[in-house]
Amino acid sequence: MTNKHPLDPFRPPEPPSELKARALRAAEGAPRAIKSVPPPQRAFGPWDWAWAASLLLLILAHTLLGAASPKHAPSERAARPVSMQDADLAALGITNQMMSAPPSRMRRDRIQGDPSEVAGL
Amino acid sequence: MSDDGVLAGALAALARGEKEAMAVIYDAVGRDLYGFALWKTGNPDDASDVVQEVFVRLAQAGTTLGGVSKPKAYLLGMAHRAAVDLFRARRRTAPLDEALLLDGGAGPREHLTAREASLAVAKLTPEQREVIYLRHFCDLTFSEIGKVLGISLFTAASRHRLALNQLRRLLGVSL
Repeated sequence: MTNKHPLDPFRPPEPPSELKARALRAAEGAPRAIKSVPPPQRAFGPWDWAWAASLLLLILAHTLLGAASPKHAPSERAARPVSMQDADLAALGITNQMMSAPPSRMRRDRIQGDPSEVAGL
Repeated sequence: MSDDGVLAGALAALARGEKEAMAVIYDAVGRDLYGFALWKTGNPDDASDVVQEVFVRLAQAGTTLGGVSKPKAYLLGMAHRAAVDLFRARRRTAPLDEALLLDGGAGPREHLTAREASLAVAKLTPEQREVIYLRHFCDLTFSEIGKVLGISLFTAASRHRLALNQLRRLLGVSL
């Protein structure tokens, strides 16, 4: 029984004598990498100014004209007062707000408001 | 100073741009790199190409070499990858007809010659061969072998055990 390694008396072959010079020569000619090269900085040129100005104009136009557009106008329905035809509804306690607000909101308003109304629901 | 200490200093010098460190690295690890490459490629010309490629990659690595913790394993890992790339490029397998072993200083063991030992080594699988080389001739730990070959520590240890058993069987050495 032996614990010796089966390859103990042997050794791997020597490299050829010219290999050192060859390897060093090859390494000499290799380009050396430089770590973390910063990306080249581009100057802020006329095209960049033009883009910035047009973007600014677009934002400005949207701000100024946006409020005047129909989309942003106050809702006619919400502003509508209780008309003469609605007088009967008004007498029943049905307000214009009840007609325009969603029921869930009305219920929440009632819960936060008059407790007697809540009991009546 | 240990091999790893010399190599760490040389790699740090190389990272600072001192090209003379290349010769120090070759003297410290050139033989191991060549032997490893020869065991992987089975051809002296290919093995020389692998060693040359390692030094080219070292030169290209530049400042990244400063933080290498296990220099010998790192360089053997470079040789492993260079050999893999070479095989990919040349699209052929290693014939392993060259002498992979020479007689050591103590002379041949019993009746066994270096030629017979080389033939036995050639019969191992490439994976077993490289693990045997790294463990026996480069004195790497299984953890380092795992890093060199890109395998786990346990795989490296298991391959080594199987390779050793196979080698003992082939050489007719009792366990």
